[in-house]
Amino acid sequence: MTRKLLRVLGAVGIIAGITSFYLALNQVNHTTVALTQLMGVLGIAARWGLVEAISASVASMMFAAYYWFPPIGNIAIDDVENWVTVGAFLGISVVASELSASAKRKATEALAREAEVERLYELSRALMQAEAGEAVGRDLVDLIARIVEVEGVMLFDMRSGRLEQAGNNRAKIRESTLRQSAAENRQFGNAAAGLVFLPIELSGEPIGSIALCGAGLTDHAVRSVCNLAGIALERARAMETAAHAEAVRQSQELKSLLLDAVAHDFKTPLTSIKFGASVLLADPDLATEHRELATVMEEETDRLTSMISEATQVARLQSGGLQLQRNPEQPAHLVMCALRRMRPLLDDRPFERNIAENLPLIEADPALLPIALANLLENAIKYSPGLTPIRIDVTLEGDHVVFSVSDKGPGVSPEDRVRIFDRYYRGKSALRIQGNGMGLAIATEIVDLHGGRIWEENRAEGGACFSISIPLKEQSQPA
Amino acid sequence: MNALAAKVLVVDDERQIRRVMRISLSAQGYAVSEARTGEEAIDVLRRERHDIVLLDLNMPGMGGMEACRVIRAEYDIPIVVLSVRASEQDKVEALDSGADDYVTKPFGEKELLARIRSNLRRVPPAAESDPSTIELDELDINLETRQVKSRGKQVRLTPKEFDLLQYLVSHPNVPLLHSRLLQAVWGPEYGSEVEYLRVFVNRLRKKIEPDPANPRYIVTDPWTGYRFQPAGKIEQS
Repeated sequence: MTRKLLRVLGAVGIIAGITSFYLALNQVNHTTVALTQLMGVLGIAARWGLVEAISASVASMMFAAYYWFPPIGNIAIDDVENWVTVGAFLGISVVASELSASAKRKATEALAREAEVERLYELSRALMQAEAGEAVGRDLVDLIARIVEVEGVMLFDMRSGRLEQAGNNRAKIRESTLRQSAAENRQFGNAAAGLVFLPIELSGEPIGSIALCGAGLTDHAVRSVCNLAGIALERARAMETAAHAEAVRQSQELKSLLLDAVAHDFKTPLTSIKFGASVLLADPDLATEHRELATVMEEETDRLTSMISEATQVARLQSGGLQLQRNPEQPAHLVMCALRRMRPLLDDRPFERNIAENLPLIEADPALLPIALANLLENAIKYSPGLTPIRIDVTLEGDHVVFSVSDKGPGVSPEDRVRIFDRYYRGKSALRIQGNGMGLAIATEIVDLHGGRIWEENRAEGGACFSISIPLKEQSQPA
Repeated sequence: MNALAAKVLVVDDERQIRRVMRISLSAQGYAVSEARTGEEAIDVLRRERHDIVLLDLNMPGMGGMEACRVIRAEYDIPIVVLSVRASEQDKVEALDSGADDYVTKPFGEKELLARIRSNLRRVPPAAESDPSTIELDELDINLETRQVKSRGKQVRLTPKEFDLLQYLVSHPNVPLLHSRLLQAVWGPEYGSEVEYLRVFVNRLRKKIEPDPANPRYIVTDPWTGYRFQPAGKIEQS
């Protein structure tokens, strides 16, 4: 206020100075004096403002009235013409000061905007450099409070349910309104009023909300902060997901290595045992009972070996360590691969193959699916009497290709049927039969990975029939 | 026993495995040396000529795969890999590294002996009094000395590579089934090891074809097998 008063006095002083200058010169044209004073008024208006300019105008008129307008020596003005001059002075003062004031206002606004952009830039940089993790919301509000210089800020992350706040004056921010803003995807309050609640959206979906309070907030700044908060939350989430996926991948790799190591460690001693037993068996002079014992050793070694292979296979399938390599495959080719695996077991068993003609290709793993089929074949071979026939049929049913393996054995008893696909389960009739009950469990895992189905039915004409159906096209898994 | 003088190098870090193999192979009349690591095996081979190497893959130090590459780079002797790893990928990698055969552990004596015999066996040239040398455009094959020259340059082939080439060459222009090739070159116990042929044909092509990616002598008959074209592929204009 004193500054204003000083400036008014200064303005009057400047006019007084101009006036005394001309008085000293003596004999000067009135118009010259008036124009010089006008220059002074314009300068004051542009530099200082309206009040100062008007004071200068009034001073100019008073001097003019006193020294030059009749009656001279008196501030009264008689002449109408001179009143016009007075009006012109006032008018110019007002217009000039108004113009300059608006220019100044714009300059101030531009400066403020520039500062705001700088702050937002700083905020965005700080956010991008911030570590992702649990504390992302905490860091976010601290950064906003510090960099954007708001009085209070509160952030609600809808997906984690976390609420974070910062700033010295956040009493006005109501938590319920903040939650409502996110829930209804709606803005409350506005920047001009100094308190605003904004939903944070990501491609149209609210993922949280933010409340800002403080003077000097602009709509633009508030929206930008809100967008940046959205990006920061999403970035943190994406980084967390990536870290999780990497952890899962590493753990699977580790499991896989571990399984390899276990299989290796078990099979290495078995190699010596089996080899030793086979050397004994090769001796033509071996006593009958010794030959039998060596045969038991060799057979049991083989059994242990296949148990280890199958157990690691199941563990690998179930740990998700085995990724399907889906290729378009001919069903007939898959059957051929399965038969190749089973050749030694099939021996001279009567075998029938009925593969429908013109079957479409199926999206299947060329290494795994034959294992599933081979396990069905092995099952049929083991659980039906020697020299009874085994048949494999491949047909198209709707958008699935169905592989069925049927035998002429005793079929599956009702109590076995429920559990037959479980790991390690072996049917009642299995007690005499070599095996470890994992074949069907493995087949089930493989079929599941393909999005297919496996089931068993007893055939009307006797014997069991195990079927696998595989969709032609990979079906997208529901997330 | 015909294997009398054959020298076998057993490379395995497992003492028990070396022990049983030594007992069995010695009883069969082979001379057996042992090595515990790939490095040791290379050492033994440098000191003394051997006829066949039985090589484990999982070993401390350089490991079997690398040992296989090093041995193959220096010697043309048969290498039979003995490993617990059973996947096709492992087999192909071993064969690509220069192995001639792959036996999955655990195995019995009969199987191992059959593999050793197969890999020591030299397929004799077809008896039909054919010429002992075959001279083609850019390929000279001497069936007696088992030497091959491609564009005038001596090419080193492993015994199995030579047997395969010899069999192909003696049946020109005939499509040869996978199983027939396997049984003729490796032995009657073989037949389903299609990956062997894939790897060995590739190895042969790299050694004798002017442009291995575009073979003119050994062509693939899709789904069935391979065919030898002495005249070379006729360029299409």
